Amino acid sequence: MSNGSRLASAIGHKLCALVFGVGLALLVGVASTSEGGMRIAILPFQNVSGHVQAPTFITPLLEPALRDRGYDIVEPKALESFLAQRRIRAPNKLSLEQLLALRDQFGAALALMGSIDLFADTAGNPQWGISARLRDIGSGQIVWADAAGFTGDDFTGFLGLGTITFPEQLAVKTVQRLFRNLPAEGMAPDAKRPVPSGPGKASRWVFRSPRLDTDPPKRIAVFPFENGTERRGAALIVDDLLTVGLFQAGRFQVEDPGEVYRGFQFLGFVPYGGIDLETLQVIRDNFGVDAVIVGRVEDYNEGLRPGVSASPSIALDARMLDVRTGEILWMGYHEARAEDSQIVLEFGMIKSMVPLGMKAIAELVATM
Amino acid sequence: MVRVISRANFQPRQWVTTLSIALLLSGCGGMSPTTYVNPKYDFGLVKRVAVLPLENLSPDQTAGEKMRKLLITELLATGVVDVVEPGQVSRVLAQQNIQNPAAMTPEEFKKVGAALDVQMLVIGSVESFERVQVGGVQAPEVTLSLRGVEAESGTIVWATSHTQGGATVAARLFGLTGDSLSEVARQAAHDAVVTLFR
Repeated sequence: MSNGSRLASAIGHKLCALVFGVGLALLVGVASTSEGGMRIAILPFQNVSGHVQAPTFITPLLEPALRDRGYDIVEPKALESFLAQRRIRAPNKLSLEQLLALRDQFGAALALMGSIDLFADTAGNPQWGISARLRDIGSGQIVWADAAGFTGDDFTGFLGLGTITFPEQLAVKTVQRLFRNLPAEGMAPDAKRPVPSGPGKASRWVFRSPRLDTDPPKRIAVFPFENGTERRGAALIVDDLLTVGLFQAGRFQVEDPGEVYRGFQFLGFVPYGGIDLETLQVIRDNFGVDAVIVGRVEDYNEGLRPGVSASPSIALDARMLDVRTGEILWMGYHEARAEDSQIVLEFGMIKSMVPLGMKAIAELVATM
Repeated sequence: MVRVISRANFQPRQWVTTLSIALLLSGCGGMSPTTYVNPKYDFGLVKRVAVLPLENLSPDQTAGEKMRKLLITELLATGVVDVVEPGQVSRVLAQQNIQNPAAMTPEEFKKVGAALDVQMLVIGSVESFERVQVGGVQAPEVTLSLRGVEAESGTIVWATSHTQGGATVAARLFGLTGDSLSEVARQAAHDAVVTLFR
């Protein structure tokens, strides 16, 4: 890229950041209710941890965490009956229409959705992994998204002290970490500076079309990944983490998975793995996106299955397709292991799956 | 002070050492690809290619698809050709009722090529994609055979076979197995694709 275009790009990014920051501040101001803080509807998190008890640990922690930040919360019982009445089976994938119904019924301005990606009640070393996003009900846009995960071992300090051995205690830490960057009610978040594209750890596996510099897609959607692993739900987790990663990178406007889900319901099929041109044209006409990301999870090892490595690893491939032409705009493969960031002994190791997945995805997204 | 080594002051022992290192390094990355390129075919005409599903002869059930994706990335990364989205390839193969791309006739190549609007179709097989036992260690090994079929005539204009990793000199002598299986696979795809544009 020439110096001129770099400068233009930098100015563009700064302007985007400014517009984003101001927009969110206005949103916070406008949507606040007169009686208290801005009202949030906390939708039940999708449980992909494979552990039925997981929501009983996490759900009760969400409400106080948001109340502490000054937000007003929609009564969970009322929300439950709203979901039952409308037969909403995927509460973490609400369409804009369903969000607007939430606003009309409860006066909610934001909706929190997410998933519990990992819970392992391993003796002496529990593990948690969660991801979440906050959507503005008026526009359906994602206004905040993050993911967090820990193992009890992550807190082990000098002489082996400090390890968290109780899943309840670790759940509290994980939820605190999840919301660490969520601004308090009435506060605008730190102006988001888009992460510029560039070569990184994943670049040797990547093709990047020059069109991403000259005519980049503005709005993109993450389509369901193929799951090439033995871990059930691995693709769902990666879909969510990729949405978070793309949102955090700030270079593209990310279509919410709820809108993607609604689109597939409307079309009556889910393009799994690859997409042909005809389908892309239908997607272009119905989804309002410029590009879609499809891919496959090749490896998703949480380090919990017997007979495989005890430290987590992940590998995935993905490609971005232009919905107008079907052209592959970007294609990449990346893998990460817990030991990649190891400095000495266990220092620097990422022992938990969700942070490792987020790291791998951030490195991959950085090359887009 | 920088000491310049010229051929004149190079001792016989240094020659032996240098040659040994060169020999050792040449065995580190695997054999160079065996390649056929039709000398009469103008590869400059190839602007758009399609990579068909690869035949998988390895124990890893997903190896064919993994190698296919790596090949597509490598082909795109050359910046010379555009590659058709695999989903579009699957659709055309299904429309033409082709179950096994490895057993396609020249007529079928022509039809598929025309439907995909490509000048060349890449087919092939993954013969090994595994960790092989070399002495006391396991070394990643990938063997790949590819053929480029001209879409207009249905004839092979390019073919290459390449093994990367496996029982290299470094693995046999020192137990150095080097890269991961994924890295070896990527290198194999890269080396194979390079022969198309050499």
